[in-house]
Amino acid sequence: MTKRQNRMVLVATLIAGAILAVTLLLQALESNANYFYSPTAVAEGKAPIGKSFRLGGLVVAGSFKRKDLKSTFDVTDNKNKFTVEYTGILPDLFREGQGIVTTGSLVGNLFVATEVLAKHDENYMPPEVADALEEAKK
Amino acid sequence: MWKWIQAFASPQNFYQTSAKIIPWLMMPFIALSLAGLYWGLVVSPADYQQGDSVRIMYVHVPAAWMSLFVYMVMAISGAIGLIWQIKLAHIVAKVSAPIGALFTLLALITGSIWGKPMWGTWWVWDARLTSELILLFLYLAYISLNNAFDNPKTASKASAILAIVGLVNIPIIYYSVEWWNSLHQGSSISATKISMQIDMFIALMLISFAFKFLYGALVLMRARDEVLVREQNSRWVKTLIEGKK
Amino acid sequence: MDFLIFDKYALYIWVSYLLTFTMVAFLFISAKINHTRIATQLRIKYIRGE
Repeated sequence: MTKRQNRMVLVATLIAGAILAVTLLLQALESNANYFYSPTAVAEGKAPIGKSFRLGGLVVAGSFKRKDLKSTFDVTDNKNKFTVEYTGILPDLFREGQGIVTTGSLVGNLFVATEVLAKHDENYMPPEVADALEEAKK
Repeated sequence: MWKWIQAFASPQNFYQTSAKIIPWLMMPFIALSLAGLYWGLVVSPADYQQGDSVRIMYVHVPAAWMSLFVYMVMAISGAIGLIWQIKLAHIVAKVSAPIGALFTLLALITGSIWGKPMWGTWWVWDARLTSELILLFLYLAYISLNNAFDNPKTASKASAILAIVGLVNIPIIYYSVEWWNSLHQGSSISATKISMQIDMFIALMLISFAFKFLYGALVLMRARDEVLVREQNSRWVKTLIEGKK
Repeated sequence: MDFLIFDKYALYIWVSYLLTFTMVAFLFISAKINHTRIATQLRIKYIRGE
C-alpha cells in the first residue's frame, strides 16, 4: 500500500470509529447506559419483563439461604424488593447488606438469575474501623 | 514570563535545559515509588470487604488518573500548538500519546484483575469501563493519525484536532459512575470527601505522584529526541551529533 | 516477610504490580532505544551528506 492509500484507510477507520463512539455516547445519554434496573424501576414496569435484564440493589440482611449451589436472597433499594434465585458460585464480595448486580429474568415475582456480580462501594477501611463503626451504630 | 516561555520553547534551549531537569524528576519518581510500594504493600491495612485485594487499587487508581491527566495534557498542548504555533507544544502532545495509552491499558488490565475475584467477572460493559476503553481507542487513533502524514506540521494539526474533539470523553469517564447506574464503584476521593482510611490514601497519593514525575521525565526524554529529528537540518543539531563520537 | 504473602489474592496482587513494573521498565527502555536509533540515523545522514 502506498502512503496515500494508507492514509485513506486510516481516515475511513477513524470515521467509522468516531461514528461508533458517538453512537455509544448517544445511547449512553439516552440513559440506556444504566447498567442495571433498581427494584423500584422493575416494579414500575420500566424493565423489559419477559426478556433478560439486570437487577441491582442491596442484599437484604437475613434473607440469604443456600442449599448446595442453589441460593436465594432478596434484593432491595429500600422501597421495593425482589427475591432472586441463583445456582452457581457467588463472587467474593457477595454479602448481606452489600450491593449486587444480577442478570436474569422475572418468572412471576421470582427473579431467576443466570449471573450474580458483587458491587463495591467507595468506602475503604480496615476491619477494625468497620467494627467500630458497626458498634457506634448500635 | 512570556519571554521566558519563548526562550525555553526554542528547540535548542529546550534540548539543553531539559537535560538538567530530567534527574530532578527521576529522583522524586524513585523515592515516591519506593515509599508507595512500602505503604501499599506493607503499611496499609487490608480492607474490611476486599481483604488484601485492595492493594491492587494503589496501582489501578493512579494509572486511571494518569490516563485522564495525560490525555488532558495532550489535548491542551495540541491546542496551544494550534493557536500559538509553538512546535514544542506539538512535540509534547505527540510524545505523550504512547505513555497515556499505556497508562490506560494498565488501568484496564489491573481493574480487570481486581474485578475477577471481587465482582465475579473480568469485564462488564458498564458506563465507566466502556468510556475508559473508548479513551484507549482515542489514544490509538491519535497515534496512528500522527504517523499517517509525512509532513510533521500536517500531522500535528490533524492529531491536535482529534485530541481536542476527544476531550468530551474525559468528563464522561469521570462522571460515568454518578450519571448512570454502573457496576464500577463511585469515586472515593473528591474535593469534599475522602472515604478511605488514611494509610490507604497515603499509598494511593505516593504512587499517584510517582507516576506524575515518571510521566514528566519520560516526556522530556522523548521530546528531546523528537526535537533532534525535527531540527535535523539546523546547525546546532549537526554540531551536537558530530561532536558526540 | 510474612506480611507480603497476602491471603488468597496474592497472585492477583503480584501480577498487577509486576505488570506495572514491566510497563515502567518498557517506557524507559523504549525511550533509550529511540534515542540511540535517532542519534545513529542522524550521524549516518550527516556522514552521507558530506
